[in-house]
Amino acid sequence: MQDTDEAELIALSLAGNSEAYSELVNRYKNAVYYHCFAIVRDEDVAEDMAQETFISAYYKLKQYKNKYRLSTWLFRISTNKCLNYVKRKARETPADDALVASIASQHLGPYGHALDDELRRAVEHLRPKYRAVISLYYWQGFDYATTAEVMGAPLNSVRVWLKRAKEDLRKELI
Amino acid sequence: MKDVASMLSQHTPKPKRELTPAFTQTVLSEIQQHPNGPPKPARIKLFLYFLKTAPGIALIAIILALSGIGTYAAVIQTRDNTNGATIEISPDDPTVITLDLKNCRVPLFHRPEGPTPLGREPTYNGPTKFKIIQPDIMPATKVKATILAWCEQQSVRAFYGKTHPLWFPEDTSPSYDQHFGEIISTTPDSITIKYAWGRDYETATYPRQAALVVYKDGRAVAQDTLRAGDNAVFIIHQPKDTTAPNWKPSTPNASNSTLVSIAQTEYNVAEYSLFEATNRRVFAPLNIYNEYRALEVADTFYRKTYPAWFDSGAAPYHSMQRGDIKAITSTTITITLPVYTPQKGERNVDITYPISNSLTIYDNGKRVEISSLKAGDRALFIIALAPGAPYNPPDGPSPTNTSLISIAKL
Repeated sequence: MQDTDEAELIALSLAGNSEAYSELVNRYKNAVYYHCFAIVRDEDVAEDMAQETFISAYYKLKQYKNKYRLSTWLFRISTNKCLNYVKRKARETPADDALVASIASQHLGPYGHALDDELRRAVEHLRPKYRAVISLYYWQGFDYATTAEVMGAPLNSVRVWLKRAKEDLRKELI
Repeated sequence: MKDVASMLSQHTPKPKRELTPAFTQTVLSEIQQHPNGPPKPARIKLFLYFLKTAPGIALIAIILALSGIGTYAAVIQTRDNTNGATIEISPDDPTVITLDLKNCRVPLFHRPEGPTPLGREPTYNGPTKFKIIQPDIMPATKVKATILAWCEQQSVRAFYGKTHPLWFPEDTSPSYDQHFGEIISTTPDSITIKYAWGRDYETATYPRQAALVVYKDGRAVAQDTLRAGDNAVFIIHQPKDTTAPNWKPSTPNASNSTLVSIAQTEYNVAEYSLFEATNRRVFAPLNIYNEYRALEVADTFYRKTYPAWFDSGAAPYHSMQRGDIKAITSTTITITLPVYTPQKGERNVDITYPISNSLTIYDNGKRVEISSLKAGDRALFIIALAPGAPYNPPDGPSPTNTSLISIAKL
């Protein structure tokens, strides 16, 4: 299965071949997990969101249109799930602004050694939507158009979000 | 002014924990259980039916459903602390245990950096045999208790993640942190606890506060249910001193921190924590035990010998990747690595690097000649990013954007 073409794997999955779908999951699971982590900032939640992404994708596979890459479609599903999670959490836990601010400033984040502390801290302070576009554009390597497709937003909005995200980061990093 | 775009391009955040090995299997199990689509909430369907056909009965249905939802919610909460793991010690070899960990997220073995090539990962579907790494100091009976403790710790962490997400936005430089141990004594005014700290136990006496929340099996219980000798996870809040540049949490005590919550546990979670702090890993999958041991040696060797390679923010960034040697000639070496690109997902890629004079080869921590390598060998590769190269090149790593620095045989 490892050498099988993606379109064939999708066709086999639609025919109920679980080995084929398993191969698709293996190809994208780490990328989707990393992307979810960039948005939700919790490994356990990111893994749950990634699993939900692949489960939803399986049920919706018939709706997948091959004019987009499969990765674009998967990232769109996962981005929606993660942003919904962040919104839901914000609703469930009434935000005490002072508390949130104090916790946010006290935690450095789990990003590990690849990201220097300063940048890491600054990214954590971004709005979830900005973290999502930063992850898609810089860390997943998508272009503007694909990032817009994943976000389900106009191209210009994505450009503006990226610009604002970078401005916010710059302010933090000065 | 800092070049933010360039910084972002060169630094990809990675979660500390990799996906659990059963990730794909969990997805498939869910799909196989519900082949015709995600399960619909039966109660809601039933209620809608009632609403349509007999509005008068709907009111009774609401009351019944609400009482039912209460019970159901309690069941869901209880499941947070139930892992369903089974652990059997082999009657033939007391250093081998069979585990069926189900939903329990125990780090079965350590992957230094990045996944193994696709199709070469050990699978953990159903019962899997593991070999205990240091049976002399951690015999099978202790390992069993350790695993159960670890499972429980994971459940408690997941529980707090859901009930108090603001406490744990991540797990480094903690302001709120989990500590594992037991209750030594209680009085109406205070609680004395013993908890694992570094490689030893510490004790502390905290004033008993009304705001202290105590949980058992995922449910809030009264403070007076706490007894001396109870195993527990303690959530301690120690505010960070933002004026101190290199602030680190001090040993928690009543003068520098507050005990905000206690989750009673069945097993002694502290023991695992202390064991891991001293001895690293407890066990490895039996079928790759030898490779795992070699991996431990190589990982430790590189981090100890070349710490600068793995320093935060050090340039050039070096990564450790497990892979296979595909071919060797007198001038080049071709290796197989799992590589992710948005275009093609994660896949195995063959990369041919020139063999430079500076390429070092190690076997079990000792320098060896390249002639000791052959096609088909597993190895840990140290790969350095070329200066200025993006962390995630669109076409993956190649000899132009990375260089092969060192190889450790596995």
